[in-house]
Amino acid sequence: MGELLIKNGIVYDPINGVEGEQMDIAIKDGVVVEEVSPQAEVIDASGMLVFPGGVDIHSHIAGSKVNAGRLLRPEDHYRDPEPKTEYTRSGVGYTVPSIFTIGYRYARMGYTTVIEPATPSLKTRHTHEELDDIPILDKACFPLFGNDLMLLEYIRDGKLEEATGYVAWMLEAVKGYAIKIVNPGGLEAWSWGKNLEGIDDEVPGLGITPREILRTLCTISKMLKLPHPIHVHPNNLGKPGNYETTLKTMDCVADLYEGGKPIIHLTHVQFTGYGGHSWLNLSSKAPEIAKYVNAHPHVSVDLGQVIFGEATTMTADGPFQFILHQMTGNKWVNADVEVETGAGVVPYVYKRSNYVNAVQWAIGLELALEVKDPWRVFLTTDHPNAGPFMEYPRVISWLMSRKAREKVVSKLPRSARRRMNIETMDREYTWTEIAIITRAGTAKSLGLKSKGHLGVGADGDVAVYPINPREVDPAKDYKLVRRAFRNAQWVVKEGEVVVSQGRVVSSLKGKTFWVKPSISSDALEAARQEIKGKFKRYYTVEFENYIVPESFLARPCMLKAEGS
Amino acid sequence: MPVIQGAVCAFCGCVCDDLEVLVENNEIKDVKYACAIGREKVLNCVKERDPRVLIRENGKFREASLEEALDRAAEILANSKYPLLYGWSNTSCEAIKIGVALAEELGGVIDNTACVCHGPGLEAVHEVGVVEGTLGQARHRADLIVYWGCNPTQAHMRHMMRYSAMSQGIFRSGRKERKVVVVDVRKTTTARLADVFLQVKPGKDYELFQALRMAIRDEEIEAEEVAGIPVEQIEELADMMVSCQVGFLFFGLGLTQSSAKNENIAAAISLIRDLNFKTKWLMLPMRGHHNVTGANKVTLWETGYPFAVDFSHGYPRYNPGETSSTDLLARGEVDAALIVASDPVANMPAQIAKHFAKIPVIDIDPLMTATGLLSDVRIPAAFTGIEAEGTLYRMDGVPLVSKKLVEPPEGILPDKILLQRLLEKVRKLRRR
Amino acid sequence: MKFVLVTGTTLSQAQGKEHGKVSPKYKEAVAVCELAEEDMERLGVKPGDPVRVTSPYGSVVVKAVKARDPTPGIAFIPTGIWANAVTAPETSAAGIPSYKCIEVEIEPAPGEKVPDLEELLKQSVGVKG
Ligand SMILES: [Zn+2]
Repeated sequence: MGELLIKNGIVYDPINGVEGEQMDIAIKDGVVVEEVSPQAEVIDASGMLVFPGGVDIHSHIAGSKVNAGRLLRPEDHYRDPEPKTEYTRSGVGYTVPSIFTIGYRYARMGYTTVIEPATPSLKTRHTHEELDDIPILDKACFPLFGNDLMLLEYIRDGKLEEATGYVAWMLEAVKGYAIKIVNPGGLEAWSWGKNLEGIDDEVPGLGITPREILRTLCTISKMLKLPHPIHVHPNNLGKPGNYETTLKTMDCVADLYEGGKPIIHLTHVQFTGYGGHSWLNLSSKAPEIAKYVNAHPHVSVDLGQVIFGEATTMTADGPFQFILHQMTGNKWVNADVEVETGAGVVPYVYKRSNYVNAVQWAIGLELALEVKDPWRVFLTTDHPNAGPFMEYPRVISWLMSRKAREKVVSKLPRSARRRMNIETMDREYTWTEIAIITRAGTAKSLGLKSKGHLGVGADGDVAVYPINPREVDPAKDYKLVRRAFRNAQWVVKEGEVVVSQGRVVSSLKGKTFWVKPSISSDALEAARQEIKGKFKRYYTVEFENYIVPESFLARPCMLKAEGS
Repeated sequence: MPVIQGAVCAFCGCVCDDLEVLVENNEIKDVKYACAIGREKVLNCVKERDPRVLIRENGKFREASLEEALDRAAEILANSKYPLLYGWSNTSCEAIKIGVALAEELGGVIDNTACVCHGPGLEAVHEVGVVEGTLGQARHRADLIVYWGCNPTQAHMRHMMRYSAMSQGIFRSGRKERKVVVVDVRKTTTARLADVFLQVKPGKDYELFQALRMAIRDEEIEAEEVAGIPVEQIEELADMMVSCQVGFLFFGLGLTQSSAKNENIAAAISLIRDLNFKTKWLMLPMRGHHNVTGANKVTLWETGYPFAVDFSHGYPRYNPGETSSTDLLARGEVDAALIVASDPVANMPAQIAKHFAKIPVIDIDPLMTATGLLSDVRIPAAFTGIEAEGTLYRMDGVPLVSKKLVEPPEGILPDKILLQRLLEKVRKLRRR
Repeated sequence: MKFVLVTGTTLSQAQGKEHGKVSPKYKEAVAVCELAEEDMERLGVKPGDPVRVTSPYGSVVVKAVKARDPTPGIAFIPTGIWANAVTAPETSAAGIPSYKCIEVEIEPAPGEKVPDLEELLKQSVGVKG
């Protein structure tokens, strides 16, 4: 591998305390180094913004439900073809792009690492097949744990040790990265056509509650020293008045916190920050959520920011998707996964003229503006649920410019404007804060130590944007900001130039990270034997065929769990 | 003697993965737990292979080396303007990915056998969605199972035991804790096992679905009978469907291949969707070939569409009826064909298959088939799932990896490798 | 006599296929037409007799056999090249031809031979060279 020098860029590297210094970044053999030889390839980044490669913590890019979305929506693709080029495969966009196109479009925006946040364990081999097919990006996936029947039974029986062994075995078996929880207990209920309505409801047939599931999995995540905390989509997502459930969900593990990194991540909080009693009086409870987050260091959140226009909702939350189908009448996919989880997909259009959608739009931004610590709030659109990832530059411009926000707000229905707080918020994000919520903070939350920064030893993943942060005032010239983030001038992945002048020039294969939990080999072997013994009763495949060996992955990268 | 456990059956869409295979001196001696068809395949298919590499010259086959055949195949493809790459449902996902790359490289069409089996079901999903679950949901929870236009006793022989009517689940055990309904145009062997059998008039399934939808909404059906079934019986079935705890509908080619095609499936999906407003219902197609589901899935994530994908514009286009292999052949539009692990000459109506006699055809298959007989280049391959491992998807989308049970004969290669070499040769020719 | 033709997979067809399409076992399994006993009587044929099946799309001689799932008026030919000599090429914009529910005429064909695979290819699809 060669050497590369990115010269004279205006660098933002918050992890290393660099805030807009003009400096050079040297990369050798894919890694940031002190210096390179005079023979190194040179990129002249004078007068341009330099960030570490972007790290997206939550984007549905691969696996069975994403593919179900593609099947459901050929019309989504017709208008947005990507022809093949000398360096790239062809494909289609828009809200649920084909797999190669996902990699190219992320790369063009300067992103180099993206996490698929929900994979049913039984079908995770499929998720890996798709992840392997994504060019350029590094990636990882979070297996779903909140509704595994075997696990719920251990919790019911008070068997914490067995439950811990189960999670450790499963993460390793399917090559997952962290514990994802979606509507805890609610999907087991959905297997019977039912749902839960709060964190103290009982799961049918099991007599345990979401609270117990959350607390147990949080405890297990800590015991296994996983690099990323439990990643939670709570009960009641998408329902008016649900902010109380969200607050209770965050609070139910508060006493388990012992300092340090957060122990629970609440995802796409826009969908879970609703006040009101019905869709007619839906209101923003972002300030209440933010207030809790500000007072409680054990929590981090991401936005799930709404983008007006086409979206495709897809979650493991089967009953929520059914409700959305009921409400909209739009076509609906449901896909239950035996003894583990479910999934649903419903197309959706967010309209500026729609009262509910307008309030939803405000909630995401209000959260970002009200949460004081940028290291605990991350930019997502929960792609493609609240909007496609290609619209991140628009969200960045809203965060950096009150003027940009006001332009949207002025077009929203009066009724909606009364139920939001955004017009009183004058915070404008700085370049450093944008770097935190799009790479430094997400990398830290994921425990990816070589990502999200440009210090010596970091992965040589760099984005150079065609904008001069010393000359452009993002609050005023937000359109320039938007344009720059849409199309990076150069993107470097592991020291190789993958985007040049805004065009993809290489399709190298990225890595897939997976975590080996911290557990004694005896305990893991005991779990393996126990699970193997029961396996036939629960599953319609054989134990040995369930396991995804490392050799199945194109470029696996194992991370030993050692906590924060 | 070495016993291979957890062997994966590469016959039908059930993809049973609990076979035990006894191998001695690179020969399969016995197979345990497989159904009659799977057993037949695993035990005997390799004995029937035709190992000859053949090239047609002056109208006659002659034997050739693999290298020569691949060169000839690459030439045919590189010289074609609009080739069809068809088959894919009996090979691995790894091979299918190379097929997609090859079709893109050539600006041709890639299509899989879904086009002539469950393609209409996929088209119905575009229209109305679908309410699915993996087979374990049927096994553990279903107390009412409906088989409609399918005959598992003949075509998916272990389905009822392993996954559905007679399976042992956590919350339901065996046949006695479930009700079984069969709807078919004939009183099939499956129908004989049913609690309720409705013999629908050929081609009238759509009407019956719509009548059932009315009945579950308690709407009056103003007729004595629909589709040959007395209205009373329809209402009784509707009652059963509404009052079960978890229902599961399995449907087969009886729906996709008869008159209303995708509209049949759209009606079936609408019925199941409506039922979910009353109780829990799920459905699945009974996919035939062991990896036709994988062919759809891989094509879908790589191109955005599940079959019938046209690359002639440099990007994926999809419009069944226009870009589907059957229509392209019937209209005589494609000028060469690569067939992998399939026999369209036998499996498509002769009026469509005729076009294969007019264009150069490359056939990659372990066995000699009607397509092989009509081909210009015939390349024998290893049996996927027996002599080569590969990723495949069960009818419910559960991914599995089939195992290599025995080594293929010297010089016989898996599809994946043959296609990779073909792709390299084509790229070389086209760069010239 | 007019019939509705249904085609589809059967156990023996599937088993035969795994032996290869040129094997006698395959022909034995699929070059047949299953008929209800009373229909056979009306046609005046016995099991094993050749019958000619004709649709608007083609014509083929197959062996009459007793249906396992007899339904008067319905004829069944297992999936395969013999069935496809008479199935319908129209896809009605769905990509899929009509393999089931085809109106056919069936008549006794005394003395006529059931074609083997290569003969049938020549008759209904065509050959190269
Ligand atoms: Zn999400």
